[in-house]
Amino acid sequence: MSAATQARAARRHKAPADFAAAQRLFEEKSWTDGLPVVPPTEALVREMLAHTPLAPHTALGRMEPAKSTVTIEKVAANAVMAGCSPEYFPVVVAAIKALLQPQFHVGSTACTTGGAAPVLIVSGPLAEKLGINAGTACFGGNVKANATIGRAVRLVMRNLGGAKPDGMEKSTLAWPGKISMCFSENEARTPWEPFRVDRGHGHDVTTVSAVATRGIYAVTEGTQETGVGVLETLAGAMRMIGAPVYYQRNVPVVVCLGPEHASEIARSGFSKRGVREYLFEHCRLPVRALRGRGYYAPGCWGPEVERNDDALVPIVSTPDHLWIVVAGGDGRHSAWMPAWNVCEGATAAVEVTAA
Amino acid sequence: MITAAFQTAAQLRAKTLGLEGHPIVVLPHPLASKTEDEVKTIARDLVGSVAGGLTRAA
Repeated sequence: MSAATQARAARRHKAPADFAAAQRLFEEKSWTDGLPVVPPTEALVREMLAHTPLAPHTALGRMEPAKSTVTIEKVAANAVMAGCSPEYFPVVVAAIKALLQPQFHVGSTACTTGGAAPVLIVSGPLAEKLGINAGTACFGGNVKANATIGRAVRLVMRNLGGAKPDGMEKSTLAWPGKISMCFSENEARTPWEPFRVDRGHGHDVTTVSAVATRGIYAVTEGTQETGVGVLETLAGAMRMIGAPVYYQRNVPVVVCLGPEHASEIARSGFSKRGVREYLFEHCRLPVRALRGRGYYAPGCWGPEVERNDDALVPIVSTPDHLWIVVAGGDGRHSAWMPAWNVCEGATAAVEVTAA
Repeated sequence: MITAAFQTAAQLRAKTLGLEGHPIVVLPHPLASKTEDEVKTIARDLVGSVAGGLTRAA
């Protein structure tokens, strides 16, 4: 189905007025992630729809693996269920548009034993306006916008994509990103151009970038006194066996720098491109360490590399696959998140209604 | 062909694709950690089922 075609109205269901009874219905239907949901009444869905320029029956595509048609109205119902405030809805829609881009591979993300879940990175002026947390504890807790936007996207994957553990979702372990994982770039403390510019968008727009990852690899550097020292520690942490990298040519790795680390690195004279190039050169492992382990794929780098025990394999195939984002609050901590296996990540611009 | 751990997922996927009742040959799980000899034994045991599925009238 092409984008922005028209589809039928979503089916209506009768739910009990009693809160607990309604929750039991949602649980019996397997429409929830285990947490209580807000019943998506006609009135609440209408409020959500008022915040998008797109008509309710606009079809954005089909969500793999169940292939259900994703309409704006159905996304709105899931956003209500997740607890979103109506003004968040354009961000939810942009996130869904990103997931539906073929290079995101939403069906594989939903089905893999690897336990991947979308990480949503919001960049742009709307992030602050909507209160999407970019600072202290931005990866989890406290903030409604982060919690509910991420959850709405996961409920769409569940209820329209069929990503349910009793069906096609097959994660061995999964991670809490399967409930919700959304944060904003800390643009006020970014020493470089904003992330959306790296993704090909202008300063004035707000974007949502989505990438499926298996979790967060935290890195602490509280001793080194230079930016190069921080980068050395970060690269050391990323040179690890067992992460789904080094043999996946087209997938990105998100490097989320805490503002203090970012500032120290910038003071050492690194541009953002410089950071990407440093990590590309230093996040490498020898073939002898990788051969026969993890997701070893002998055809990936060609026979010349594979025959050479000392050949150094880079974590990604090009520096541009390193997504550098500044986020978080005070403290000398950063994190990296390798994309899952086939997910190349995707970005969509947020469309809002005319003021 | 699918390993036992993915049987339900395979059936649901077939239904999604409009192929309900599509013949599915189920292998023991896990397969990835089996030796080459073990895999050959499984292949010999199941080759008849695969041939049956491929030649079954739609």
